[in-house]
Amino acid sequence: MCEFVIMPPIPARPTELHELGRAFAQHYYTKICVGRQELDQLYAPDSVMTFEGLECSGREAVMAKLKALTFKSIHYSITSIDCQPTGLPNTVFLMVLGQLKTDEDPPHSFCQTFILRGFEASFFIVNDVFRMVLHNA
Amino acid sequence: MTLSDKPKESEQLHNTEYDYLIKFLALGDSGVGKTSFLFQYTDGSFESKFVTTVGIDFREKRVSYRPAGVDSGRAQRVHLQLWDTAGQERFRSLTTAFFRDAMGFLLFFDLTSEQSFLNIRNWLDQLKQHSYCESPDIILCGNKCDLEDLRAVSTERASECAEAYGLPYMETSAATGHNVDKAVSMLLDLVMKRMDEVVDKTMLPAQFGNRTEDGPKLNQGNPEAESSGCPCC
Repeated sequence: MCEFVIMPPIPARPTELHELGRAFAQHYYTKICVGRQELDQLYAPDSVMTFEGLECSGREAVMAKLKALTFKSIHYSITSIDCQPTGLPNTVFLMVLGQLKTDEDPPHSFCQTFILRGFEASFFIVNDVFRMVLHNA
Repeated sequence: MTLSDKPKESEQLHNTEYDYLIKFLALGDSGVGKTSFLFQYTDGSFESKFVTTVGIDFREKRVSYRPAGVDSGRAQRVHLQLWDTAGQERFRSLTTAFFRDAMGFLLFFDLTSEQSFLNIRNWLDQLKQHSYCESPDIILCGNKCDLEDLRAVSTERASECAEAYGLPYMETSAATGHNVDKAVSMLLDLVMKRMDEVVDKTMLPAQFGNRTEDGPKLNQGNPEAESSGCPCC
């Protein structure tokens, strides 16, 4: 268990999808905390990430955006992980709700959705949308 | 609940004894020392109030204000609200709620960071886009002046830049407290003078072109209640 990532409790009867979503979230948020540069293995050349409304197409653009974030440390507390089949082969839809805390700042809520596709023994991110839960009023 | 309701509600409950409610914003890159500066200014008060829906922090302080050159009369009781960005600027551009109703701005850069100095221009652009008027009152603060050995921006260079933008410039240290009170006082002075000018115009006799019926009026003690776009009038 990574001390930077707090995961929600495991449901009484987790389905295979639940387990997949949970394993993915654990891996993804741990990597963001301890080694953002290694996230590149999760994105493909045609992956798309929309980060706070800014669209980054392709692994390089995604990684450039993630590496440019200015915090020194980040902690995650994941509240929920919801996972659905998409009807497409080896492809799942995932929504993560949680809070993050950077450096000495107060915690902010965020919501992140992914479409993951299985390839051989692992998954990669096809789509990724990240938003902090902040409003204008 | 709207953001501006929150502090107002608590004020009405606990602290109605003041003449003016003034709201200032602290702006600048992450890590330049905005939060430490406000912490130092509010005498180490940990009581910052975090508004989660908009992701913004604020601190409060009471000060008394006496305009220069006026000896008689009691000092004005000013309730200062100092707004801070709370880290959201690391991920996104700031929510427009941050800029709403702000009357003055403390624009920070880090004297040991060239990049934070270069980014002053971007912050000024964003500030002018969102603030209540074209030329709001701003103090440029070069923070961390205690770290002389690490200094990356000279006083001369920063002063020239400030002059080019028409801003007062101060070198501050949130660590030692150097010029912290002075920078906020200077900003308060500018904002109060601006408000006085607005009031003076409306106080002029009618033959000098005053239109008291529909002219702007200062709503003392609660300028936020005004519906016009400019919080000063």
